This record gives sequence, structure tokens and C-alpha cells, in this order.
Amino acid sequence: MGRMIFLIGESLVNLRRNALVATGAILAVFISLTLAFGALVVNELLRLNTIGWQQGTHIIAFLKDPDQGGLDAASQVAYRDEVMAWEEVETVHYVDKAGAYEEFKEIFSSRPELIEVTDPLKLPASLRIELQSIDLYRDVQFRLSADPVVREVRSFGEQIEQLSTISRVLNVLGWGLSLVLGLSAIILISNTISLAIYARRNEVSVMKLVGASNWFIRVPFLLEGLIEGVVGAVMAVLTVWLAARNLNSLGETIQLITLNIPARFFFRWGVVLVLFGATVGVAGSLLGLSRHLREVDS
Amino acid sequence: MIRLDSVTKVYKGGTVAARDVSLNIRRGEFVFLVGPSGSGKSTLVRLLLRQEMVTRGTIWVAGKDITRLPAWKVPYLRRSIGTVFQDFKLLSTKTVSENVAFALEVIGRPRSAIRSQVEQVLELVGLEDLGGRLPDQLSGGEQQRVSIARAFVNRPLILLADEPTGNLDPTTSVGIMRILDRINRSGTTVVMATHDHAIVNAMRRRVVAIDKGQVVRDERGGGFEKAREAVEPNGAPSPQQNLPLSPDSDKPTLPHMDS
Ligand SMILES: Nc1ncnc2c1ncn2[C@@H]1O[C@H](COP(=O)(O)OP(=O)(O)O)[C@@H](O)[C@H]1O
Ligand SMILES: [Mg+2]
Repeated sequence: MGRMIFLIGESLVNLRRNALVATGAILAVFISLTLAFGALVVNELLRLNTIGWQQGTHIIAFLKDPDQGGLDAASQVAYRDEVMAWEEVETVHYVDKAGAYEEFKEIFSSRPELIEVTDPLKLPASLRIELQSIDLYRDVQFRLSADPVVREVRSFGEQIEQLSTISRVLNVLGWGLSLVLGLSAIILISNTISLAIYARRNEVSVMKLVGASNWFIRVPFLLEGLIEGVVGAVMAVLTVWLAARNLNSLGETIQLITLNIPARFFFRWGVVLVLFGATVGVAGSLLGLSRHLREVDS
Repeated sequence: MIRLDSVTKVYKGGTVAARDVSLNIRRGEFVFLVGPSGSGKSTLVRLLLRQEMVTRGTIWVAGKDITRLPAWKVPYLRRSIGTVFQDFKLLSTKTVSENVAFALEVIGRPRSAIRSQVEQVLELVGLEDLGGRLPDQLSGGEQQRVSIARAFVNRPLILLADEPTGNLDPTTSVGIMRILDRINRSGTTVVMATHDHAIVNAMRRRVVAIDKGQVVRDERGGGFEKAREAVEPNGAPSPQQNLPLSPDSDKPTLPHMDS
């Protein structure tokens, strides 16, 4: 216990001694994880708003209920098999009325008032159609629209193409930048550790001489890197969380799309990112230690 | 306690700093390593501490072959060896007491034990009243006594001293030698590298002379120079002998030596 306090105290002294470089390292972790987390959030927003499309659905055919002149549930399943046999169609997924309501609840989980006023029975069953090739959507859409058992056909051909391009670019940018910045964060942290070792070379040399164990010598430096990584990560998580909350209040005014991301998402990824920051910190420390600790003569 | 068996050390670049050195030092001995500058004294000290690896040969310390010690065990070797250097190696931002306590803190001793051990050892080196001073508020001799206190606070089996009086004037050196003598009388094996004639001649302990990395003389009760002084009648009334250093002039007992 006393030993732990001693070690933590030593690493805090280190941090204070090279506050400027440590700040730089923390900022690098912060920026890189903010970008990574931002990319994740944008991704999640796209996913929430395009749940149907993301699963590879190119066309949705909403089916009439039996009382509107449509098929009953068993015949709807048979109809699915019929459509599946079409040449242009890769696969068809049937979502019954209960499934439609479940999906609705997930999409609008942040708007309980909307869910409350929606009658589960009003949501139509549908066929989610994946095509052999997205280019074929016009033909299939036309054929479906002409069928009297179909209430409405929606195709996402163009939107899918655009959105998937945007999301790909965003992802590559976000992850690429955060990878580069993450690497530079490791290097910056290893530099703060090198400086800390240099500033404390006399102490380290005496420690080696009187027989301090290797881990005892390393732990304050590892803790220093760990603190830098965790502080940067916590700042990144808080920043993205606050930004998303503001975005959400903006989203209240925009109908039909949701900008609300569940707290569960933030918690899960927040924990992952803080652990990642800790890993970056420890990796940076180990790099700094491996480069410079040996050079301290004992 | 210490045994070297045909130890050879060749540095990168080809300097042979130890050449087929064999030595046997028993528990409780006081041994001077003497020889001109560059003869290889410090190299032997560094080999004993595993700061350097032997090129050939074997070194046993307290029954263990330290040339085969895995790196992670080296700290435990060093806990059984106290070290004192010419340049003291004190931490300038820590007080005398803190410098000594540091040696115990970093090997994980409990705080409660540290305080009393530090007090005892500062008393042993005669610095009980200066515990709160910083190193640069002390004379060279006092600083070296702090460094001896730090080396001895963990009650090591062996004390290695590399030119401990190299930066000190003769009178101050006498005080340092008295402390080393006292530590040796407590049962600690002391090995001291030096080129200080006066001290070696006054102490009359075992002398191992090194030249160009080789042991050229190993003599009990010897002087710095070969034979000449040793053969003088009744043990050489050289001026150095008048220093109040000879083993019989001073028989202090160490406090708390039972460990
Ligand atoms: N790290 C080293 N690398 C190469 N040569 C060294 C190194 N240390 C000492 N030497 C050489 O080894 C020889 C013995 O040095 P040293 O053991 O320091 O002698 P002493 O302590 O007796 O003055 C000298 O020639 C010195 O130049
Ligand atoms: Mg030397």
C-alpha cells in the first residue's frame, strides 16, 4: 500500500516536471480518439437511420393487410418465395407485422411519444428484397408496383449508392486520421517518458545501484504514460458525448430521422476507448523505456 | 564470500581490463585493490555488481555464480552489496535522511522499519545531527559519509568502495577509513579500490595489486608498494603509520549488529 502511494507520487512528480510535453501527448490522444469516436458515432447514426438498407435491402415492398385486399400471413410467405424465384432477385426477407413494430421501436427508441401513439397493427408486413445487382432496381420496382397485393414500393438504389460512398469516405478519413494520430500519440508519450527518464537519471541510477527491481523502476514511468493516455481518452469520450447531445436536441426539430444515440452505446464505446487510451499510454511508455532505460548507467 | 575464477574482461574495442584474474575473498575480510589508474580496478568492481559481464571466467558472490544470474535477479544481488563511489552519487533534491531512506524505499521496505534503520546508520557514520541537510550543504567528507550510510543501511554482506577517498583531503580520508573499518569489524566484507598510498600503508590489510588487468601481488598485511616497506623492521615507521588508523588503535563496536 505504502509502496503504491510512493510509486504514484513519483509518476505525478514526473508529470509535473514535464507538463508541457505531457500536455502535448494528452492532446494527441484526445484528438485521435475524438476523431475515432466521432467516426463511430456518425456510423451509428447512419446505421440507425438506415437499418433496412444496411442489411443489404435494396427494395422494400410493403404488403397490403388482408382487410385491404391483401394476402393473409401464410400466403405472404408463399409470395416471398415467388418473388425470390425472380431472376434479378438475390434473396428476399419477409418481415411480418410484429417484426415491423419491433423495428419501428428500435429506430425511434429515443422518441417514446412517437411509439406510444403508433398502433402496432397499422404497420404493414413487408418484403425486403436484395437484388443480384443494384442496377436492376427499376425493373423489379416496376413489376412489384403493378401487383395488387403490394401497397407501396420503396427503392433505395440511388440513396444507397450515395450514402455508402459518404460513409465509406467518412470511415476511411476518421479511422485513417485517428490511426496516424494514435501512432503519433504513442511516439509523443514515449518522448515524455524519455524526458522523464532523463530528468530522473540520477534517481534511476541510484535505484539500480541499491537493487530496486526492474519493475519498481519502470512502474512510475508506466503510470505516467497510462495517466496521459487515460486522461486524453476520457476527454475525447466526454467531448463526443457532449457534442452528440447537442446534436440530439437539434434533431428534435427534424422529423423522421433520429440523431439520438442511446446512452448504452456511449457507455460501451466509452469504456472501450478509455481502455484503448490506457493501452496507447502503456505502449508509449514501454517504447520510451526500451529506448532509454538501459542508457542510464548504474 | 567472493571468488573470481580466471576472470577475463575485454571491452568493446578490444581493451583487456581484466586478464585471467583469480581471487578468493573470505567473509569478513578487508581487501584493498591497488594499482595505477587504468589498471582495471573499477572494472573488477563493476563485474562484481554485474554492471558489466565477464568475457570469460566465473564469479561467485555469496555462493552464487553471478555470471549466470538472469537479469531480473541482478537487483537481488545488488541488495546484498553496498557500494560507495568517488563521486558520492547523492540525490541533490533529497535531504541526508531522504537519500539514505531512498535506498530502502525502492526495495520495498515498510515505512515503519525505514525510519529507525536510517537513524541508526546515520549515528554510525556520525551524521545524526545533519539528517535534514541537503547534500550541497555538506562538506565532501560528510557527503561521502552519507553515501556510506546509504550503502550500509540495508546491512549488506559486502561493501564495495571504488576510490571512496579520491575526492577528499588526507585528514577527511582518515575519518572515512575509520567508518569503513568499523563496518568491516561488524562482519561485513569490504573491498576497496584505491590508489591512495597513505591509506593502504596505514591500514595494513590484505592488498591485491593489479597492473594492466592482471593480479601482480596478493599480500596479507601489505603496503601499497611491493615488499620494500613490508621488510622494514617492525613494520615500517613510515609517516602514514602515525595516522590513527591501525586496526588496534580503535575498537568501536557497532550498534545493532546482530542481523
Ligand atoms: N566501458 C568501457 N569501455 C571500454 N574500455 C573501458 C571501459 N571502462 C574502462 N575501460 C578501459 O579499461 C581499462 C581499465 O579501466 P578501469 O577499470 O576503469 O581502471 P581503474 O579503475 O584501475 O582506473 C582502461 O584502459 C580503460 O580505458
Ligand atoms: Mg577506477
